[in-house]
Amino acid sequence: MLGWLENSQALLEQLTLKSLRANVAHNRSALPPFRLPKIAQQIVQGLADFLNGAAPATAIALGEHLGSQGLGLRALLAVTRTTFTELLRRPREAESAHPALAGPETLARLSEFYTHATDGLASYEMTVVSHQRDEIQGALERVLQAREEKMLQVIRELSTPVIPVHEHVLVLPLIGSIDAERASRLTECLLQEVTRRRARIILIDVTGVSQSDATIAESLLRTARASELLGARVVFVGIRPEMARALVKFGTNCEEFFALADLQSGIVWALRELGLTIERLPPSSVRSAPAKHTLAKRGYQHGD
Amino acid sequence: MAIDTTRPHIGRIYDFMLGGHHNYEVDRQAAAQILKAAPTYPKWARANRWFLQFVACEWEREGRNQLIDLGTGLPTEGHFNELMPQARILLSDNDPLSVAYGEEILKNQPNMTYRLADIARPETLIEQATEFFGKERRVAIACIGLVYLVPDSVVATLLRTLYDWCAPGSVMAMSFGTWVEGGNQENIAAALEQFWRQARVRMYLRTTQEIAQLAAPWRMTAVKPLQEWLGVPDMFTREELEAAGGCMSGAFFER
Repeated sequence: MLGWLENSQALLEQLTLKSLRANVAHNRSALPPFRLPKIAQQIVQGLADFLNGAAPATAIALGEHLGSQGLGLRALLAVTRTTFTELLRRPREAESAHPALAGPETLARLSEFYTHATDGLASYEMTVVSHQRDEIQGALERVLQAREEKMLQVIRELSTPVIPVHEHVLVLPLIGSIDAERASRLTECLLQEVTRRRARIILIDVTGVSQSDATIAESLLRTARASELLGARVVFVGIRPEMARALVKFGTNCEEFFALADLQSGIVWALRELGLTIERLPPSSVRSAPAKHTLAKRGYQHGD
Repeated sequence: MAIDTTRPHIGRIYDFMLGGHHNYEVDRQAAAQILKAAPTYPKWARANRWFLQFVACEWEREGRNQLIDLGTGLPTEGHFNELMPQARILLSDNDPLSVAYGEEILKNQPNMTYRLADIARPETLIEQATEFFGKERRVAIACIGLVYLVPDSVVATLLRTLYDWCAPGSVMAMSFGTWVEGGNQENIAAALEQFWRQARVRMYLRTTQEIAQLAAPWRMTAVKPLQEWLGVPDMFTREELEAAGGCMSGAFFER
């Protein structure tokens, strides 16, 4: 068998390469045609090793390795077919030179080799299918997660708006429900702004808060106490009757905080605390807003 | 740049045509319809990817180690990142899913980056390239499997912008769709229609002369059919080519 192999290796490589080239389109995209000679060499070398007594596992491993380089199952099956066809086509002339060629034992061993290699390659392809589907699913999940995180970030920013309305005066308008996480973020965000802007008065506008329970009241009072530790005075504005009832019902110490009816009163009060007032100017000193046609002349469009 | 896995996407259809599994049922169904009108498309998709590999080997041999890949898609097996692992590579695409996939693949390769960029706005790409390559602007640009999906005005602006940014000595490789002489015009029209109906993409076929004009002032140095670059001139039979009506060529350019 070995003598035959030594004399037939070049022929086998040639046959294998020819078959691989004819079936190039059955390979995966990882295997360009100019790498086929290398693949042909690997197949024939694997065959030689197998005929020399290598274990089936080596042929299976070769099949997996070929698969990892992009060889397609149909291409390997075509190589098997071509090799057998050629060997069976020329037994007589070869037999005279090498009696073992194409004998039943050799053909059986060849068949065994290609079967194992095919098994290895098929197994690799199945792994690839599952791996690639997981990869694309993973990518999709990462994109969706990143998008969700971005939206949450926007929501977080919108849920903790701290607005400077005048030097040393901040307004924190709250809308919707406030859970423990939001309350904690509110406190953190407000304290940062108090420090950064050296705020002396904070107006917490609760007109738009939809809850009226002890938890929310406690959360807001905690925020107020923390701010006051930094030297800022906190004023609650827009407390609705339901919230007022809840505060009383749950025994909140109302002396702890100062409240005004609405944001407008709060701003007037805050300015007064800073020694400022809002007063009406005489008509002669009021500059009117530019008329619509003036904006148009300047090149502004509706909606700018 | 939205992700919608309930509608077919050209990148995932292309992956299916390459024999990949980075796609969904909706992509495979669309691919099946396209295959009825364009049965040789999987072969062209492979030829395109193999041309990319040929280009990578050429550039590696020439010692080029700075690369911009346009319209990368899913950098699956046999892409630049695998073939030129030592090179500095900027990969780009306008599909967020491809970018997310690529970022994961490249996470351990600090010499490579995959950015979200729309080639219709080349200024973004230029910003990314400037940030990534710094002052070193002698680069190799891969424009493979892209321009047949892009209208003339976008191709011209993109290539001119890149030309202005690149240093002399830069090169570019491109594949493009063209007509087969004596090919079946009805079949090619039907195939283009299917691409539009299934994946909402228009395809643009161009002559070599038209490509040279669009790419100017890049200087075209070589052009021939993909199968000839790959050394498999018989990959398509004459009958297949004539029936398809269209085929693909590969070209090299210099600045």
